[in-house]
Amino acid sequence: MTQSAITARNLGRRYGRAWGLQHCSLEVPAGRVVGLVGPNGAGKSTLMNLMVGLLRPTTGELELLGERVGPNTVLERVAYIDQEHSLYRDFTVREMLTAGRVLNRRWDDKIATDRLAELGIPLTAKVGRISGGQRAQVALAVALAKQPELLILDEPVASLDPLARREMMSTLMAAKADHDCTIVLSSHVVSELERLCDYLVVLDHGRVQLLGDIDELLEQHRLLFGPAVTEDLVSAHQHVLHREDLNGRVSLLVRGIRPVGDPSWQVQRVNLEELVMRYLAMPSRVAEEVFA
Amino acid sequence: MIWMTWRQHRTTLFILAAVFLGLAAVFVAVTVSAGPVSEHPTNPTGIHELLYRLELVNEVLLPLPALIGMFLGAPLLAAEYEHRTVRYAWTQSVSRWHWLSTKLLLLGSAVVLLATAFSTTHMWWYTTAGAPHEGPFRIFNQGPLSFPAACLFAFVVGVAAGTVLRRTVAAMGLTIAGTWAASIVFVNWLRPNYMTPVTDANGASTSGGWFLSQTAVRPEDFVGVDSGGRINGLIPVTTFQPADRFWTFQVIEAGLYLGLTVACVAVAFWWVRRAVA
Repeated sequence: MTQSAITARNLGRRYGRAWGLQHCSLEVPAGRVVGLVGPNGAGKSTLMNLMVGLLRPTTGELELLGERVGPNTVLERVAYIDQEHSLYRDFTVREMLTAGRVLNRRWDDKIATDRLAELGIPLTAKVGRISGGQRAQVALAVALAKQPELLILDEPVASLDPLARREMMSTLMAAKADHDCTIVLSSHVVSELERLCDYLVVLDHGRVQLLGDIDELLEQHRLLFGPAVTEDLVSAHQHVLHREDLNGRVSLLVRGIRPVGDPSWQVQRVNLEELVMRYLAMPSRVAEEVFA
Repeated sequence: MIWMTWRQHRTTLFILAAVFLGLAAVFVAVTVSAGPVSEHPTNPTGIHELLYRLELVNEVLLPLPALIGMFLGAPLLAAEYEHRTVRYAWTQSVSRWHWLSTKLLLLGSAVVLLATAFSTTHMWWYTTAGAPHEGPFRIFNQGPLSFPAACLFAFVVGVAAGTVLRRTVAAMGLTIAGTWAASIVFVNWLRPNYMTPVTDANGASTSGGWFLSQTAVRPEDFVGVDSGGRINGLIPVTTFQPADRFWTFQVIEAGLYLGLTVACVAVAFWWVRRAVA
């Protein structure tokens, strides 16, 4: 397997005058489950569309699995599922599998039929007649039958009810265990990704705010709580990324673990959701300096 | 891709085949049952008169090519955009280029076959049992070469419109407008001038040719063979395209339609290549 699943260098995409994605440089190792997080309009879909050739970049370049992605090219080793799990609604599930076979060079029918049989989704059912959750599962089965080395899912559970969300997430986890591919999935809800992902990319306003191994990121950051009066003394020795006022007390997000030396201050581990929220709340400039 | 094309367009193809081959079967049946040409009355009667009158509908509205453009051409990409299935279709191993070219090639071939089945049987009926004395120019629009070319053109107009507009209904509208505008330009401005018309003095018969105009000139302005005919002292002069030019004209018109077809295909490809799904 290749070392790097995604390599982007100064990748950018402009829509008219606004940038959907800008100065995006990142390198994601292969074999990870990558969560792409950010508010709506942060550039998640833009980045994914660039990966699968539905958009062409305005600037920069993009490599997937060591291969350059050009406009209108989709790598055979990459599978993509869009937000609506778009499939031909007048096709039967069986016909959707036939479509997958004729449209792809790599195709293993058994992967899809086994998966669908396990989920009890009949091959004779029309795609337009089954539930949204089942349709998402069909889209996933069709994607996995391509035996992708990189699976890209744009907001895979956004349109699903809570039960279908859980099912989709467990199917994804099982798929990861069975096929050992790199998975990239986007969401604007961090808690959805926490169980599944081990790598995080936070996007905001078309820029990368934070990226890295989730465990490492959590290890590198701490939250400090203390009285506002001693804030300056404490923060002088810390790399403070973000501060929040709480009625005379402050909470500081810091990077790196340094002794605080003031017993009135508490040091806490940060959870993923808190970390992401804090990064999204800070000005882009600060985040960029951290990763410069 | 062959399977995809068949699966996605088979219903429309069935309906179009039913219309075109059904009409072809009618023309064959009535021509065969009409018996030898020598026994036909000068003016069409019975079933032939009915078909003859229906002819005018086709002549004026050009419904058959427009039908192909609206129902086969316009939805080809527009429906995929509307149902967002381009996002599926264009993220598989098959390239957009291959995807579009296969569809255009297969469906375009089907259009030409169906249209040819209609236009040849129609021509056979018209020139033997329908109205053999009126000459072929009257049914020029449904001619064996120009009609399939016009159908192919209507198809790709629909495809190009759907590619650009991304809405099936809007693309259908543009297809009707486009094919109609093209036919008006062809019939009124281009077709009469494919070759220099023949002018004949004294109102001589166009003998199955295409009558364009008639004027009268004073004898002192007249150049040519004067056979002596006069209307109010003026020499009547008829301008027309002789009947034996029919096939040459068919080739020219089919060629022009094919040229427009290539242009529309180029638009569709160019647009698809740079399209954001």
